Amino acid sequence: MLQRAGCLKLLAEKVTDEVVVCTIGMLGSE
Amino acid sequence: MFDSGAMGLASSLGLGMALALPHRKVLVFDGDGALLMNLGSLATIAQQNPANLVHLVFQNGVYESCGGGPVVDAAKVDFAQMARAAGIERSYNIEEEDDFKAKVDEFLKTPGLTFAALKVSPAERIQATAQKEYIKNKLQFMEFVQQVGK
Repeated sequence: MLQRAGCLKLLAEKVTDEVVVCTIGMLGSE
Repeated sequence: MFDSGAMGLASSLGLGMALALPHRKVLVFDGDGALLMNLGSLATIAQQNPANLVHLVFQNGVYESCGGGPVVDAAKVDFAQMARAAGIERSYNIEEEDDFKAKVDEFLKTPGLTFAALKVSPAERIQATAQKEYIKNKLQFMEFVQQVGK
């Protein structure tokens, strides 16, 4: 089982300003 | 972009952004309950086939953004199979951290429409995150699109 915060952290480390993020409203705690 | 108040539409909004901003990679963070509310978006996304769109679905089995009610039979739903059947060939179900790490570079760097359902645990503390400043949110979104569109 994955942890959402871990997935987001890994993506955040690799993401660049070329990337646009579109999300539903469930990530406030992370 | 923060899309609270329009549950289910993150994928459709992300598709629009991907088509309007072809020079940008667009990541959509969706939920399992939300996607089931707008499942037809998979077929529309597949038909449009934007090479710059990555659609990630957090499959946690609950409607976390509005209090944590259960998503019916969420654990049994094979989202990757659904996406593939809709026409999104590069579709995955990912359950293990190592598998996710192995795919991140592909998500961010390899051109091509991509879908992945990420099986995650629900948050320990579920708190509804209702957005009440809809007009402000809309204006911020419009400003953001203008900035990234350059």
